[in-house]
Amino acid sequence: MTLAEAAAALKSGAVSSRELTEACLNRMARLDPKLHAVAGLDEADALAQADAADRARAEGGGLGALHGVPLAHKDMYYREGRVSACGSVIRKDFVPDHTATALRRLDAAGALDIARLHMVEFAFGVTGHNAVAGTPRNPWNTDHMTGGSSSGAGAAVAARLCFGALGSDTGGSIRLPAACCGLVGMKPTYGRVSRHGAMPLAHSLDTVGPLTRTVRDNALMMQAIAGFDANDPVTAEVPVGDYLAGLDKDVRGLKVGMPESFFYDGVAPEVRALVDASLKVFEDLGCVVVPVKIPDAVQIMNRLTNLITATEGAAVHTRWMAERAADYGPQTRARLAIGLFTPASLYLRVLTLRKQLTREFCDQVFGRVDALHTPLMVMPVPTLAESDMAANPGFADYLLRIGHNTRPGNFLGLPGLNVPCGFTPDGLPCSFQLMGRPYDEGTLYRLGHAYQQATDWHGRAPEIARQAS
Amino acid sequence: MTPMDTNDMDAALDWMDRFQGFRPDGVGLADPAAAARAAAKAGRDAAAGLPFDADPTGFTRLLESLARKDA
Repeated sequence: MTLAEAAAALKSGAVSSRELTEACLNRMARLDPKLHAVAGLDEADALAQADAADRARAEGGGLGALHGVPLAHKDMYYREGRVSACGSVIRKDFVPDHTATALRRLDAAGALDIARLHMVEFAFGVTGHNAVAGTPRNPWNTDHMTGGSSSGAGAAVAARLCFGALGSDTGGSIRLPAACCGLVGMKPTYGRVSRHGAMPLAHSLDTVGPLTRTVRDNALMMQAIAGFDANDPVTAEVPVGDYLAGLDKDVRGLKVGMPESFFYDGVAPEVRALVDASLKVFEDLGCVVVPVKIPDAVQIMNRLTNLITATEGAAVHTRWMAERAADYGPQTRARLAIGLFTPASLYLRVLTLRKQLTREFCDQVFGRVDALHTPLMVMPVPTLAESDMAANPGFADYLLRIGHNTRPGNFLGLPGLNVPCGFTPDGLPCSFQLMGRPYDEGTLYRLGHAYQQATDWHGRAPEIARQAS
Repeated sequence: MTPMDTNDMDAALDWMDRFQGFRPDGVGLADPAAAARAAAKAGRDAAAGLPFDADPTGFTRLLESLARKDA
């Protein structure tokens, strides 16, 4: 049952919120010892939320679109009075005094928040490894990485421990775990969703978005959380479209761009074959596939995104780096420390450059097409062992390779939707990415939904999840 | 360029201590330093012709200006 199906079943009375929540808790009890996706769980509280939702439904009245649906979120969204450890030792007992705007909006839509999900330490890493709080396992094959930093969110949603989850994306941290775990992940436009009450990593890049099993589910969650928030000064005043109403609109005639450079650099043949096949589906749906010249400057965006992340991250972590350096994992510590050396002149230069390059990219690419179609990762999902780089020689370049196709989207502030498009011969999921112009999440959802109506990859479940049913 | 050796790393951490007043324990800088060097050069080269007479912040306003007008 998908999130949308669960919401519909609750509405019709076919199932209660307590029944769905008990099913999720049972699956957590059975599967989480193998997956390590759950960072914190209060079963009594989860069931109390479910019972309250069922009572509210029995009493009638206006209910939100997610009323009674059990969700769980990356452990960096603050809820007043509840621990938010952010995947760290340093914040293992941190109890915030306010609730994140994204959680408040999901609350208002009626969703339940039943667990905190594991993540990479302070969201600073793309493989999913966490040297201080433990590493989640990929439900498709527990020897493989989940991707990060929303590692627990990827594992939990793929294993059906909950119906959807919030992640965060600074360099690929929603899209990469979505890709590795066979899910849909939306990194929205910078400023589309409030970050108030979410742990900051790099404020110029951080975005909040959902990981779900289908595009429709994703649009449902995004509809609840998107929009201006006076508590986050970078949120935009651009109106939020009706994502759900747009899902079933015809995609014939939409122009889908195929990049002529950069995004296929070093792509593995088995990934290329699946991504090419997904492009053919769009052609069959009546979209016009247009080869697109990508501005050369995209070559440096991956590195510049890392530079901004390290620099802004160092600003957040300076005091802990001074006083508690030994409490960080080695990779996090090394990446934060290098940010302390960035000259202010360089940082300001890069931010100025960013505006120039974003304007150029949008003019050159989105002046010609409605969406850009790329591989999400250029390699098959690595094993945990081969991606366990810690701070060993070569780790920085390895991380650059994994985020090759995601970080440009963060640098440019553009929305990116990850959609699964099959499995590589090792049985691990593979995905494509749709990038769009600012605040045009609606077009990406429309295209992604059309693709899922024409294919059935999103309906497959990992063996571990099927066994637990 | 040769990778940072122990002396280079000590020198970097000494610099941090002198200019920022602390010296984090157990940090390995060699690998991220090489990546940061490449990023810094790329940023410097790419920004060579830019006029620096504009506010580097205000990115949201730029994105708003680039949004679809027919949405």
